[in-house]
Amino acid sequence: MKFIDPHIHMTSRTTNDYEAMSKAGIVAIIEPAFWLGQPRTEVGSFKDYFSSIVGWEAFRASQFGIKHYCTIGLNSKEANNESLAEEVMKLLPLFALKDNVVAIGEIGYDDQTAAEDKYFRAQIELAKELELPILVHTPHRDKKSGTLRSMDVLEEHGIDPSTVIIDHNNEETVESVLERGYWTAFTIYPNTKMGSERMVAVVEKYGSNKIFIDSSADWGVSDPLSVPKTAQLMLDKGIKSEVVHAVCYQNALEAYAQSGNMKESDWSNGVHFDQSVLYGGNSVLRGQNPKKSTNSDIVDN
Amino acid sequence: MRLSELIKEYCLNELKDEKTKNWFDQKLNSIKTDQDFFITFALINKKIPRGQLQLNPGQIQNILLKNPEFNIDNWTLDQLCRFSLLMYYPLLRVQSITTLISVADTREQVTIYKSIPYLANASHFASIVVNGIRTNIVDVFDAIALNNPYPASNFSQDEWNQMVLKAIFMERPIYQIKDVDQRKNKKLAYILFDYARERWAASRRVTPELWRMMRGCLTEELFLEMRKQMVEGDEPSQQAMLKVIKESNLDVAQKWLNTQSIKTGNISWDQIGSDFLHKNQALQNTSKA
Repeated sequence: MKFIDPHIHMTSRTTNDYEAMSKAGIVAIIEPAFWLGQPRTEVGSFKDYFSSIVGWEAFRASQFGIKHYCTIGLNSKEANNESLAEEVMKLLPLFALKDNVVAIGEIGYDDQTAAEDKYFRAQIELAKELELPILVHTPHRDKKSGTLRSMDVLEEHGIDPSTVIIDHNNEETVESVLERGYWTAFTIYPNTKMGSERMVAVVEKYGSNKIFIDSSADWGVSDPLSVPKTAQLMLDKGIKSEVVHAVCYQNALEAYAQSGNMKESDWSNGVHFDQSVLYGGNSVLRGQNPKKSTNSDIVDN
Repeated sequence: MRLSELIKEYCLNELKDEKTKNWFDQKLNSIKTDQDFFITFALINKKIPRGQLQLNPGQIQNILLKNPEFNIDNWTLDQLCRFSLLMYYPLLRVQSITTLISVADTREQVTIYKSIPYLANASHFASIVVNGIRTNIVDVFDAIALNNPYPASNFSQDEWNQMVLKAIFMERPIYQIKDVDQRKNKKLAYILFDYARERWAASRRVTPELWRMMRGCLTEELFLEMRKQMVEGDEPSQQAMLKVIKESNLDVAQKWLNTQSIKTGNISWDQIGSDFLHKNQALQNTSKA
């Protein structure tokens, strides 16, 4: 079975993760721009971060046969540093138009402050102007009202819910998000938020329409294999494979394909990567045998 | 007609959508600020199709008449439009390109480095291109190092040597480096021989193309070392090592060759490089399948 992990922060992950993900069937991933676990203090840090997720990280992923996309945005936590936020806002249009960018995100609320609200709205307008989908991060604290407020604001700006992904849902938020016509994403974390077992129950109850899952794996305790593991659990519990396919692949593809930058043909014939160059030491496969050398089909001349 | 006008004309011909055509034409003639230039450069991703360009022989000839060095291969329409924009922006300075690259994705970087050699003030951008060689993204490295006339005419010896060494290290096809033979030098040859020693110590191979850079620099000592390694090398490497030994003027090497039954053949250095590249590519396709 093939999987898409539509929310994972690969800059914080190792090549072991990439190998395991590829082995588990993950063919494409989306890396939303987020914070790094501590607030940045210079606009240059944002610039280099954005530059890394539109270029270097995509190359790193391609070396493991995984197609990498990202979203560009100013996250809600760092929106609270207003003088910095102003400078970051000027950078966003430069990066949001890049080849592998599939949405503006992840944006929304953290503490639901006035500054967060200001930059959430400004970025909704940017997404409108650039005709990009929006990825909304819902807050960890006061989640339900933060989620409702996010949807109210989006609608106030005239955004079509079918172009928006509301992420990090739980049993408390799922109903209203689905009802209002948004893509409804769930993050499967090992300890917090949604666990795999709870996710199975959600799918049993609400079906697969507009629902998909992700790992949101980052620099904290998290599991880059959440998507394939949850898929397996669903199958074990008797959920039909079409449903699992929708929740772990197809729906995320449909949601983000609206950007015009993500399509199945990007990976169905293999992701462009040149393993032969990885014989060298200055690559991510330092001194290991490239995969191809173990392939018995190779005809030596 | 200047090169910039010619390229613009070909771009506009290829743009079938009237709205896009007008947008692009108007942008070429109206950009006055860096910010507008950056956004327009980025917007090409959204607005302009990426098809492989089909220029006819007459058009190709016209371009080559303007600049015989122009590498006509592998331009897509979006790349040619970006090249056009770079030529038309009247305030294109070192700082503009530096910033443009710092916010560029891989495809954009490739286009910028492909275009720089043909800009009117190309020589101003040498430090940018030298810095570009420090990338680890293969496509970007290739855009500078391979089939690009810029390094040969703008890099110092040390910069040139770094590029060739890195190309060999990354197993890029050095036969595609412009003027690779004209710019070879003793310093580079000995750095590369050291590199080969490191690889041998780790029981790893080196690309057979490395030996091309040893021509005219072989000493008796190095020859003896190579001879030992030839027993273990694969066939393309043996062939390349034999070739460089044969081309040397060392008596001891010529005497040794006469005692050998192995045929050296008449394979060219370009052929050695191209065979090696195609074998690698075939291996990669097999592993993808």
